[in-house]
Amino acid sequence: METVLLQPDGTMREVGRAIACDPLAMLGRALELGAGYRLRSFFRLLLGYPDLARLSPFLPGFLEKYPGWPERSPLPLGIDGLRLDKTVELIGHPGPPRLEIYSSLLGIAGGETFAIKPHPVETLLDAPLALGLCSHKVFGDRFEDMAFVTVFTLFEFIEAISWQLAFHGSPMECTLRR
Amino acid sequence: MFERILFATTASPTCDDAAKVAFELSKKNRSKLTVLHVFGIPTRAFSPFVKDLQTGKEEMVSDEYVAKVVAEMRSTYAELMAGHPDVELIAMVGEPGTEILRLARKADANLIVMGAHTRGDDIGATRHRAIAGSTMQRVTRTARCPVLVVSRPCITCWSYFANIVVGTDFSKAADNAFAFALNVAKDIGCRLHLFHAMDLAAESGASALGQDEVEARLARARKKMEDRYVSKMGDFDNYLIEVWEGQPYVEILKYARENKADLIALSHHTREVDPEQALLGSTVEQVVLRSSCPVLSVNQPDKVDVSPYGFRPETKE
Repeated sequence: METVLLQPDGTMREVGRAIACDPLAMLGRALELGAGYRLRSFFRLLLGYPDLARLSPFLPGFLEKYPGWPERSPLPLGIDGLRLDKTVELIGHPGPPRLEIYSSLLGIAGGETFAIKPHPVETLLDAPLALGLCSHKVFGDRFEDMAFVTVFTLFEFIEAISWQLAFHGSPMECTLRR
Repeated sequence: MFERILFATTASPTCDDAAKVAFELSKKNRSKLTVLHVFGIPTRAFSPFVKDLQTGKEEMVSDEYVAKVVAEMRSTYAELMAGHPDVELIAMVGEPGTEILRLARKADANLIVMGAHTRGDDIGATRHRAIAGSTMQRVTRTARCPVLVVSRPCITCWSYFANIVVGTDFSKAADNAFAFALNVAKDIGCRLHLFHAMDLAAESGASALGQDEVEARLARARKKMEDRYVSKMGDFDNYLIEVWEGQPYVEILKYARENKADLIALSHHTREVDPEQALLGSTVEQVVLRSSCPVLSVNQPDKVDVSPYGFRPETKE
């Protein structure tokens, strides 16, 4: 399968050569992430290929805010990294039987995944970002959960991350009234 | 502020955040709190069997079964109920949206509080199932009283809110959202942010507008907000007016986050769409889905008057 390699500096490569233009042609390609890829690299990618930022209405706002955020070291407390997982669910109830496929950006700590919604995006920018497995779940009389190696396309990668980040932004404290 | 509050719950952890707000708000205001849990849908008319909404299994409903569900509700909310002056727990069968609206009318509720989701899903899954056809959507669209949707932990107690953002599209329904938000802001003494997002891409069609035209439109919208809303504020001066360009739900969320909003007040439907037809993708659903603070949907002028001195839009126009 044709692949596209995303580098930590935000560039895209195809069989060893840089992709100068037309990133839309890469959207359906299978994705590989270069060593040292972080969430910050994702924003560098969007800065380098602005057409990709049109995939979500939230991305232009993120680009004004996050790429220039100061780098931090060490990593946020309790977060080893971020991982993009894919889920295929077969659901018998509630509602009519159906199949749903979606990708989720999750936090990793001690080998376990956790929801990153409460964490401000600024604190996650320098967390390592990796591609995960496909989880296959069957809800019904019995519950089954299996994990498979899978591929992510560039479109799934951008769409899933921008979907997740649109939920962030909870204030961490009460505001004082005048 | 609210004499009668109806809290509609799935009696599961997905409603815990809404429960905390409902109990805290009613306790603080010494309101009567009715906690409603619709636990099953009848399999057919007059049938003693119902399909349990959480398990999908068929159950035979009797008075004992309902009493058991109420006992479970009492146990779930025992901590929150402690010291509450007036709580009633009701468990019933039926279509959840219909029963919530029916009880709200019957109890003459001033406010409905509910969670946004039936199931606790990870965020990735919500794009497919949280918006369409939910009970929340039906109740916010149809209720006569304001509906408070809480889907995240509320970090600030209602009485200590510092910022209320009211999003307006200059519709009649938005006037009601404004009236309610103004009355709440006056009552608790917080700042009111009047916000309008101009979706220029939708308004101008295929032709791109020049910068001068964009700025002229933003200025006109700002003037319209001053004429329409500031004139009704009386001596209330703790407000800000902001007009941004962009997709309404995106801009409302961005503005609310930047200004640490404690509450977002909206009307359910846009002025272009018949409220009965505004099923998918409306601004309220998109905001509720992602908002970090509670979202209040106000469509009707009924119950916007939160205090004896509140402003009611239909009597002033």
